[in-house]
Amino acid sequence: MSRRLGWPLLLPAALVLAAVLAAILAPWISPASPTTGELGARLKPPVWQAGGSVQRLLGSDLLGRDVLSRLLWGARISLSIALAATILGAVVGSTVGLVAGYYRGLADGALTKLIDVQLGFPFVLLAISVIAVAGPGIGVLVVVLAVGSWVGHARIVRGLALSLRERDYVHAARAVGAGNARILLRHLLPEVLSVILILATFDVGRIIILESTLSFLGLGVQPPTPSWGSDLRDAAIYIRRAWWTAAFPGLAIMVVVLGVNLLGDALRDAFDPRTVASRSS
Amino acid sequence: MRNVRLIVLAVVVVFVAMVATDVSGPAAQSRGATITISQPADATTMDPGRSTQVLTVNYFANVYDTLTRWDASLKLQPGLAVAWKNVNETTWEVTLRSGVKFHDGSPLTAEDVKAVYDRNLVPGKTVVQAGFATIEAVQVVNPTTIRLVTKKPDPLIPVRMAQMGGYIYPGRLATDEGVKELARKPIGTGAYRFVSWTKDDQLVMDANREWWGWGGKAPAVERVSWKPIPDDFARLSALQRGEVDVITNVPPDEMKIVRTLTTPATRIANFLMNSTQPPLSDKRVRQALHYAMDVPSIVKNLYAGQGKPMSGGLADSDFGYNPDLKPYPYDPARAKRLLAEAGYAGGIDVTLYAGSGTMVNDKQLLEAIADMWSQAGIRTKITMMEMAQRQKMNNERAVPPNGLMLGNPQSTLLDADGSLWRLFHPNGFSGKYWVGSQPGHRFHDLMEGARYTLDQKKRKELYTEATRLIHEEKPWLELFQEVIIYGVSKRMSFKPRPDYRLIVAEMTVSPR
Repeated sequence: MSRRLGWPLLLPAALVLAAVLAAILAPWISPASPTTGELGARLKPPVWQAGGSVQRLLGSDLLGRDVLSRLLWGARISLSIALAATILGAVVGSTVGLVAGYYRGLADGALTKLIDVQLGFPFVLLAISVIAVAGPGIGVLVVVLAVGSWVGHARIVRGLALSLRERDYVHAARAVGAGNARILLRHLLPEVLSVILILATFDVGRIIILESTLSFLGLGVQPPTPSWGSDLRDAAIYIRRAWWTAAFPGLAIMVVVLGVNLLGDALRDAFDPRTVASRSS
Repeated sequence: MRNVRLIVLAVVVVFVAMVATDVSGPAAQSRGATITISQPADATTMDPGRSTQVLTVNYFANVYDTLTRWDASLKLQPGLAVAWKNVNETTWEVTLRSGVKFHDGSPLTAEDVKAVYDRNLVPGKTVVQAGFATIEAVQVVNPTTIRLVTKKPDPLIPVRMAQMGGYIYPGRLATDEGVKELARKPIGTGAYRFVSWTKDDQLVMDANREWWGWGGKAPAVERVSWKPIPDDFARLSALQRGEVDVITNVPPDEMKIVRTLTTPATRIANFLMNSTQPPLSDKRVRQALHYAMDVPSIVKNLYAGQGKPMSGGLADSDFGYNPDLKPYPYDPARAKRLLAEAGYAGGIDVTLYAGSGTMVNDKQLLEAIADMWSQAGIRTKITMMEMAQRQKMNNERAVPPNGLMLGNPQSTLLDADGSLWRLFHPNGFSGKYWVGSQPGHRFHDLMEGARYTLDQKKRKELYTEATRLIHEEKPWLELFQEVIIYGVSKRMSFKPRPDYRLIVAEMTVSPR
């Protein structure tokens, strides 16, 4: 156990923790307001470059706003959207998958078809259509991102439920008179919980990137709310003149996604009995 | 292995042959220069009835002629028409230039003009019909004379003859079948004749030595190649590498890295405003929006100084422009006071809408305004939309109450009638958003009166009062007049036109 809690788990955990702390503490640790800028002081370089100042450690963006402050506040928006969308996707996907896999029959057939249809449909196209109809907003964004992630949960949980329902202990439970609800909640759910958790961890990383993609396309978080994706998009045309406006949001996305994915890897190794077995052999 | 070498050899031979023919092309002509122009998008059609989009119209303006035309200083000049006069209040007699030939050799006659105008008069046949809507009928008097009969006295007929959609092509092509051919292989009377077109790659035109407008001089540009490059930076790099001679849509921040030509545009940046409900229905609130906004700073910092703050609704190139109206100064304290007087000491809530890509730095523009307004207690929500969604909102007049939507309109006639009354007319894009547009209000009566007034001095007076009303009422959010920025190679020179047209016949090329 001690080996599994070593650096492969601690390093990514530290990265993620740092991002989460930045998000929570943003109102107190930001040196400036993320939405108020000084047009006269736009595109100022970071402190270590000629022309930089300690007032703007990471430079200013194209409207003269502090890049560091936008990064910290952006963590808030980007991470909370990712978290909300992940949880929504996981809950919906797992519930549907569990029910379909357990009851089989018509519901299962319909679900499998629905999954096939959605997998055949490009996600960004789906997102653009939904947002074009519903109008952009954080709530819509969370729902759209959850729509993009529930399929993975539904498929895997359904598969697990299909095999679990034939296990002896499930038959035994049914034999002593347990109802469907009780079997689902007390006997199947605990078994699939670790899988859901690992899946969700990977989803967080994927969803952060999707959110920045949509914000990059102008469909995500609306200005002037800071988000890493939309900041990256704004900076794209200035990258030759002001590299720092694009580099830092990009770096933040990379670090958090890397951290979350490594964390997912480590969690899987820790929970999954098969990897443990293969490692010890 | 041998096969591979053979294939390589064959490819090299073909490539060399291609390069060789390319070189022998201009060398054989050895007269004017060959230049390349690069805009962000290719032409969508060569049929002048099917597009008023500025990039596409630039192609039309070189292949086709209009009856009257604007010169580079925006003075109205004879084109295919040499004279025009009122026969009575509703009839204009237009004398055509004689001896003009189309690029296919056929002569230009009054029948050609009638056929083109007749097509433009039918609603739905073209996208330019609105601009010709005051015309009742076109009559052929003799092969070089036509009469334009209007429904009411229309003083703008000479100008309407120069507008988009007024480009003349052979009458035999003005049929449903003919315009399909025209859309791919244009035939006009213009300074440049169409040679070839590979969609999204390049369109080539050669000088038309028969053109009536050369005035005895040889064309400075023998061949023009139009090569669209969508990406701003790819276009700039192509200019820096010397691959192209003229580029459009240069981002203001990048002006310093290439040689540029600039001119104030006939286009203004503003926001349509739905002021049908409180708080924006109060004039003082609308004024406060303007006092709380530092437009000079926005122009200086966000548009590299390229823009002229304006007030009164018109660009300085439009007939009716009122130079006495000065933009409101930046005065947040005064804005707060006005809000308090109107009963909104606690601030107001508004929403800014914009389609992504409306103009350079559009999203930053909205954010900068929202930031400035927040200092005066104006709380702003920003909604960026897809262009299609914005188009829908605009077409359906669906800007919500207390919403403002970014636009950059241009007078289609270089006249207040083509902008203020095109937009604020009850049927126009802004017509439902402001009570002053409605019949019975002073602004409505002034604009409607000026539309059918033949006396130019009287019209000017009417517009002077109307623009002052706009200045005081502020029924839309007025920002600044745009500046056109071209990037050009060292050898090119021309006077950039405020109306966005790129006229190759007006360009000169110095020998290398």
